[in-house]
Amino acid sequence: MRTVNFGEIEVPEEKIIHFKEGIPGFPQIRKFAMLEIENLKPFNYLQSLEDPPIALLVVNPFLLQSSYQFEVSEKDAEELQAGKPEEISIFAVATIPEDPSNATVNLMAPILINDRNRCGKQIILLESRYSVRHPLFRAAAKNGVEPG
Amino acid sequence: MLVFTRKRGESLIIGNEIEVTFLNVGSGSVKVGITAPRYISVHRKEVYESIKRENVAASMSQIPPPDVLKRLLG
Repeated sequence: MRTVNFGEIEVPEEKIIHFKEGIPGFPQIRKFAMLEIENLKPFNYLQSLEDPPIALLVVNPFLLQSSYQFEVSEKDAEELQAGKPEEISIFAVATIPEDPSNATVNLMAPILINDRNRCGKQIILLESRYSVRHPLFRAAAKNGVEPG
Repeated sequence: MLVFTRKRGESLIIGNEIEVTFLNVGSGSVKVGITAPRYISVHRKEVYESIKRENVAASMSQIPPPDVLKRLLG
């Protein structure tokens, strides 16, 4: 398929991540792929395979906040068909506006992907103490990463 | 919109499987209990909406400029 930012990409069937319910804001899109782009590390792109302009920038939340933790509800674990926690990869969606110093990450609704069966879901943490718009740089600075 | 008046402890049934019980009615707030099948997600609307909004904003993010990556990676 043809993406907006990365040109032509080919995603083998076994790399397709299925979001059974879509994700909030894009409920109709069920198929995504995780694009790892060397010069954009530590970010990845969660690229929609059905609507090319839709791609979400994601980052490992533990890189920003090593103390980040949450509980996965039984319902969510069941939906992901997660056997054990090690099967699950966790990502936070980042928003980078025109002024990148105002970049945020969504720690309230992490994206979980079951690496075994490629099931994905954006879960919503109940009674969360984490913000939908957690400042990216404060998070990084707090974790001991000095601004360059 | 369908409108009902319910007393404390009374319920509504939606479809065959969803039950909404009004547990307590205070001044300005209502405590509601919901019993629904596992495949139905229930969220506070403002929380769901904020996540929806943020995902849409995120999808319009610019590609992280090099200095952002540098600041993050130290």
